Amino acid sequence: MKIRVKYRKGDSVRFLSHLDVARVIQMSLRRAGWPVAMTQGFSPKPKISFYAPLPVGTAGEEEYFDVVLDSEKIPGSAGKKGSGKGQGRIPTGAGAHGDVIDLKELKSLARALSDNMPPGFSVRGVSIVPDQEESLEEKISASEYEVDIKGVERDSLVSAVNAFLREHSVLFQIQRPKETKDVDLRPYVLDMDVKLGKPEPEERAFITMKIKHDAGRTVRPQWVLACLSRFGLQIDPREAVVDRKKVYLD
Amino acid sequence: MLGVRYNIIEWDDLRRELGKVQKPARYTGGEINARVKDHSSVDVHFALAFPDVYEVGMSHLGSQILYHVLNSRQDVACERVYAPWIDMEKLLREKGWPLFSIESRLPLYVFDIVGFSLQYELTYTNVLAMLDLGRIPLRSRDRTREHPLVIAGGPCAMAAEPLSDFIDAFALGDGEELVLEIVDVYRQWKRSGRPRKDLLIMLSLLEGVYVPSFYSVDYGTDGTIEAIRPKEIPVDPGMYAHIRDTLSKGPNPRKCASLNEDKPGIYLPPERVRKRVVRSLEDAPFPLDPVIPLMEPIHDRAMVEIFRGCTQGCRFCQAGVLYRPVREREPETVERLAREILARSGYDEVSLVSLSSADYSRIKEVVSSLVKDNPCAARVSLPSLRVDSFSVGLAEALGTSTHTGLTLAPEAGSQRMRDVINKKVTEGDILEASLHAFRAGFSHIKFYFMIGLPGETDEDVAAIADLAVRVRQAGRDLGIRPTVVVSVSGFVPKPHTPFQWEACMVPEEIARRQAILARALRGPGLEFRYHDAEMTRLEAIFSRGDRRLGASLELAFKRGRRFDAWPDRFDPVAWEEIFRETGVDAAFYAHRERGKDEVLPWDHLDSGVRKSYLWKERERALERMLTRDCRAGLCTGCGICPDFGVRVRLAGER
Repeated sequence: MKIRVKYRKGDSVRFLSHLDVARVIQMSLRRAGWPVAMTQGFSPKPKISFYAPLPVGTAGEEEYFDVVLDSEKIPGSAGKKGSGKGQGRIPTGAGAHGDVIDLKELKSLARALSDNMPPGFSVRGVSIVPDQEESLEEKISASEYEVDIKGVERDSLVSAVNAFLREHSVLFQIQRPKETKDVDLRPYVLDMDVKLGKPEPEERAFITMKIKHDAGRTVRPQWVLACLSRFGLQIDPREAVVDRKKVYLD
Repeated sequence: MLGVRYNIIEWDDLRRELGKVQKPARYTGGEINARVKDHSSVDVHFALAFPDVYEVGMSHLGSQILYHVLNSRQDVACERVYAPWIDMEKLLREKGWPLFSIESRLPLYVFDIVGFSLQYELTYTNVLAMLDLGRIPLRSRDRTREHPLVIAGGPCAMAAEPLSDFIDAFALGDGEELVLEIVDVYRQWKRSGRPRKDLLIMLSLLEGVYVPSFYSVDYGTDGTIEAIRPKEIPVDPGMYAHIRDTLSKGPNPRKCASLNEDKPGIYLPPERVRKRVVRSLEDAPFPLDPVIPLMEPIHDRAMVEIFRGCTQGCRFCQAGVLYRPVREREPETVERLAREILARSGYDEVSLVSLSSADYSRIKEVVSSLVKDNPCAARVSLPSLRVDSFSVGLAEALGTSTHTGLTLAPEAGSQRMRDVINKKVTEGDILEASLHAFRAGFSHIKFYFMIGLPGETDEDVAAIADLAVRVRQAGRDLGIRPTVVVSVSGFVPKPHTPFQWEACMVPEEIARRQAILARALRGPGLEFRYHDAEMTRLEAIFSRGDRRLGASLELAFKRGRRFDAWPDRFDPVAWEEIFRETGVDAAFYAHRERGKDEVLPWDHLDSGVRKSYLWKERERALERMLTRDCRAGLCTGCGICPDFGVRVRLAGER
């Protein structure tokens, strides 16, 4: 039985890498006593799938992973297979393994997981994934980011964002250790908007960006920020605080 | 209560900068089981400082134990601090930020006590960098009442004379009891309002505390040490009374600190400082809730210490001397700890830790019980296996992944050299262990060897390659295509070992011997790995160095030397220059054989193993005589049990 968990990677844990997050979640699942199914073979691994990984430095309000439970070990439903008739028990969908899980049980697993996550992480929802459903990766169509920047001039920020949006193509060079690659950011940026904060001692502003995912491919808000310099905004993208607010599912 | 004024770096400021450094999670904490206390409700703030990067420090069991011990006390807040990587140091300096603790981002200088863990000599430059970044005066003599007490423990503390200008007091031996006594003395001193010097005097009355500034070192014309003597310390009447009181109550009657009756007002620290020994591990505290790092540590697993000490008696091994005597945990305790830590932590592996885990008298029963039944279906692993079929059998029983391969440490290639180092392993044992491993499905075996051991010839070096080839052949005869990895490091003579008098081989010679192996270990199924011979030399200099190396360390720090144990950071040319400018002859420290009666820079620090025993072991080494393990009950006369009033404790004989 496959469970989809919506979780939060909060501000305080934003500097964890995707691999760190995966490790933390696996350990949290074990602490919480989730009966996670394991892969067969030499070195069994828990059956967990993560999607649309966040880079180091980026927090996420609505992140997802899917986890397959070992139906033999589900508390309260051990051995009960194929009925789906018990009150409050939910069939996991036609064509499923015929497993059921008690709704209350699922909620308590969710609570246990949330309680056993390190500070900064929390569970925001769980749901049962019908077996025939396509991979989540395919379903993610866009991410909405909020980019928090400090010490910028309002006028140049607004005009840079507008200038970016007027372009049909904005090329960015991705520097990787062994290669550099050009990518056109513009088609990925579905929307971008500036929200100005209160004029605090240091001027603070928020840019919201809606960025497309295309069969698993996407771009980073920091790359977009780097390109805004071409339109007159001087900013070090590494100093921006980036949060993914929402992941759009089809 | 924190007495010093300070600012905490705002999180919003920090998070806007951390994107500029590698692995920023090294600096953000927030781990499960990390303890963040209310600073207004505790008396003593203790910074547990590890002079290497976070992921190395978080893998160190000793630090986890001390963190647990200190934070179990309501009146103590213990926080961790690690050496910032080069990029982070640069950022801290650019921003004008002090080095801060992981838990509360407290600047290092506001802590009452900063305690360093000294695990290897090549971290010494990081100790200085951390003090400087933490805005604590580098030299002990420049610190006032307003500065933290800077202490250091760990194996290197037993011979850390090169650090003696920078560390106020060293904590020798087992730390779990001593660290709390240090905290208590600190509290008492803090309330008394006495000068800083009195704190050091009070600490020196504790068994296991060595205050280097209380000792004077005289050098002979040939540069060797003539004597290390305690200084006569003038004390005021109040302090005099305190010392007399403490000495007469004598919780540590074997200490020989004294008051000079002929000279009133003079305190004489002990001539030799004894390491501390925890009598029974069974009663020693152990963390059920270790801090679980959010980023992957080097050793990503739960750890249970099954025993402390090792009496195999390998003559090159410092840990084998420093952690004597052997003290085992009861098997029920080991299993209970392992199960509980697994359930609470969520680790999928537990390691049964010791210096030689196959020696644990109840190893088979513990392993089979844990493999059968543990809460997370976790793997069980044993570090430091012996080279014999029994150990390989254990690895097999553990279901150790045959993918990851097996690591064995025969240490020397020829029987002659193995006899010299007292590694009681025959070629038959090695081949049998290898065959056992191949039959069990391991196709990848890694062997650790040393070169440059005392009296080693080219034939002994060649024997390493011969052995590897024979092991490969044994595998081929079984119809598999094994990979035999030969990993070779240069021998560094260590203080408190039978080889402490030996010369370390010069790098050119180590390199020539490496080349012999590189030529002989060509071919399919053979891999050869080795360490930088220059780094071996640097380790040899500092491991047996004296106080005169303090100036070199300070210059090295100023020249930006950091993380010298990291191959990509190590710079032998820079070090050569540093030694030249500070007038240090590297060969004097690294490549000189010491005389039998020479005063060694650590002679006044008592490991419990007598110098005469070490010398006898050295003589036996030259005659290729083996010395048995005292674990079985036959004493070999090292001296620690009668001298310290301790004994070997095996499971079941409480």
